[in-house]
Amino acid sequence: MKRSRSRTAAILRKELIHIRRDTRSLIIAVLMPVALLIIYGYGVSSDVRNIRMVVVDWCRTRESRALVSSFVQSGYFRIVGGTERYADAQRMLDLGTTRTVLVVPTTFARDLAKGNVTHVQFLVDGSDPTTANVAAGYAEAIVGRVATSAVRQSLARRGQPRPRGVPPIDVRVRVFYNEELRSTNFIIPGLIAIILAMTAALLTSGTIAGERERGTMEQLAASPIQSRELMLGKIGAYSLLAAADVVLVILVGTFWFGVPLRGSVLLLMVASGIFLMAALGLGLLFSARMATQQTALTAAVLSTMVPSILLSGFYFPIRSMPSVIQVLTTLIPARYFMVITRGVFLKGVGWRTLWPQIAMLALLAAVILAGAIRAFRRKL
Amino acid sequence: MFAGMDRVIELVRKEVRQLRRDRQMLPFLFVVPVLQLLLFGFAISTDVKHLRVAICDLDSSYTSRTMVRELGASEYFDVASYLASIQEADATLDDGTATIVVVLPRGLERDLLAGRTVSVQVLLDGSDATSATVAMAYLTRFAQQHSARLMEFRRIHQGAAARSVPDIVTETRFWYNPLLASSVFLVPGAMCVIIGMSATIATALAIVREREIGTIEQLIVTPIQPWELMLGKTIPFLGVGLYNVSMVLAANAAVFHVPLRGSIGLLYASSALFLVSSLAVGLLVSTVSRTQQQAILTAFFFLMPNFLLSGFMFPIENMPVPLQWVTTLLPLRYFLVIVRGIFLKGVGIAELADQLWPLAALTLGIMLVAVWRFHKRLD
Repeated sequence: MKRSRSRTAAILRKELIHIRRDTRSLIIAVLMPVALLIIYGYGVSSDVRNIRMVVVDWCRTRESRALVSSFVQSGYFRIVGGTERYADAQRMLDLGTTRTVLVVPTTFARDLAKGNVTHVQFLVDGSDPTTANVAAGYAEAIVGRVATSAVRQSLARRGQPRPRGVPPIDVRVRVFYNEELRSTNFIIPGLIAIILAMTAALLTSGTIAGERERGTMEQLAASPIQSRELMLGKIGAYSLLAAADVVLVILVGTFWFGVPLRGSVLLLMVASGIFLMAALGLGLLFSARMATQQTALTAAVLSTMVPSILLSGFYFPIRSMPSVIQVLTTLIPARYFMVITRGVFLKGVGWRTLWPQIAMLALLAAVILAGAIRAFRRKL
Repeated sequence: MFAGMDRVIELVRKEVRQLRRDRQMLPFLFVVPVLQLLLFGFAISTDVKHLRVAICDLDSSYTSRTMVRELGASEYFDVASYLASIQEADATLDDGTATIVVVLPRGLERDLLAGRTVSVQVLLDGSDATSATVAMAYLTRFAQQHSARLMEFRRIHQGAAARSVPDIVTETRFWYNPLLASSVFLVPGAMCVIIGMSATIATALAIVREREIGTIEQLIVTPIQPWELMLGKTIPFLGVGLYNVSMVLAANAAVFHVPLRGSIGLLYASSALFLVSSLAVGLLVSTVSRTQQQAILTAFFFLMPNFLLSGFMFPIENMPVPLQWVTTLLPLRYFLVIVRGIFLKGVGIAELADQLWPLAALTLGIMLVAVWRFHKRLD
């Protein structure tokens, strides 16, 4: 037992020397996560503001202008042009000069004054469904507000200066966790999970295939070292590196981007540790199974980058995926880690709420590590 | 010159043979890209629908129950649970059982009948700002529609003397993608990302590998010229890239049915141009990397921006201005607009000129730098 521990320690020391000697990989490994987090923290924003809009105003009255100006004042729309001709507006959608077109009919003001129902048309470029959805939602809400105030005015004209009970139902919204609705607060904790998943898998995926390609594998095979000891030694060395990454990205997230860290830092660290075991283990698994570094590295990039961005719930809700794929997502460690980072950062929840995620992470980490050790034993 | 072409052809033949023998690598080049596309097309939905609502109905009257039923009947909201008191709201939002809690106050029915305004409280999990904003807009609209109906109801009860109240209806039409299907947005985009990614990684690794296992010296001592070596190394992957474009088109025709309204010829021509730029990036990466691990880390550094900053998932116009300048250096940015334009809008060269020029210029620029660095490495 004691001897086994000293062999593990020897491997750990050897790997640390490797890491220290390859200065460039070391710098990339430590700085890349931080650089990525900063770039994407700024770049990836799903706040939809200043949506470009073209106005086709056939009514040209005070009322129609008031409608248009409430679009502008909302801050969500920016007018990039006006035209009299419908065909021109279509052309602007084709060219991508604008994303939306608001068409106000000739009878708009007259219908409002008479107390009739009037229609405005809102054309949205649907090629980006998310933005289109948000734009349509905003337009509905703005037009709804204008309609309510039209009702008030119409009642006031009829001698009810302070109409009672209008509107009958009034919605009061209170936003939790992310009070200003900054998309950064949602995206940064998610990005932390993605970036760590990819960096960790990349760090280890080259190591064993690399030993094989350089021919040092025979030396290891000839030594009394066991598969488990080798794996633990390698993981130990790289987890030191990855732990530095964890601390750095959390610091950047909190201090640079001002994402509130409401929950327990200890919980976040423990969860990160378990998550890193899974991610580093995945890299080792590829490294042990694939014959060349080339294949191991490609496999690691393709199998961590795409799934952890697409299937982890980072941006696309897991609930709206087909059920087969929902089952598939349960195998992705980033999925659980993301719930944990978001929970700890934004909601400030603790062990009591997050234990199912932590348990699943631990289970996955154990399975992946066992798989890596077995795959390696067969090669040795 | 002819001898040069012969050598290039020989080299291509060698690369193809080497690829064919590498059983583990082949699926990553030929099968994984299509699998990824299927994943993008099937798995991902950007629809903000079926938001989970917890209802806290303190009135439990006929009116309040009708409202709840109507809310649950809309495609935007699913009633996930019923709460007995507001105290349970916190826990519900905390563990994510629901992202919205709607509180219908006691006395709702009585107040409405008496013609007073009723405040409905909504507690919203704002973590995901996008769905939260959309949810807010839908809920506001829901209340407005309900209000309009109630006012109409009151008017009828007040007798014919009362005049009708005005309303404005928004008729929203979604162009190019009337059903707002996510696949229409993501499939053309995913094609661009996937072919670019595999071309860059494959080229970079193929060259660095040769250096790492030492066979590059053998190539250097042959009469082969650097540019011939570069052509020989990249042409096979250009072929793989164009093959993947065809596979994506086939998968689209068979499964996703995203309309391809424009010219296929233009699509292939611009794909070839974009592939050349991706191969050149791979070449460039290979010249600055000693080991395959360095190469993959560096390539990865180029590829992540393609995913997140090119407009593939997040609109460029929402980014801060300095970052928007950075995106002008990404070939993928232009290629995305081109491919989406050809697929969805059916536009041609005239409309796409603004995108084709920068793409061509960038490709040329990256190629020149790559060639220059490649020469330096070999000499």
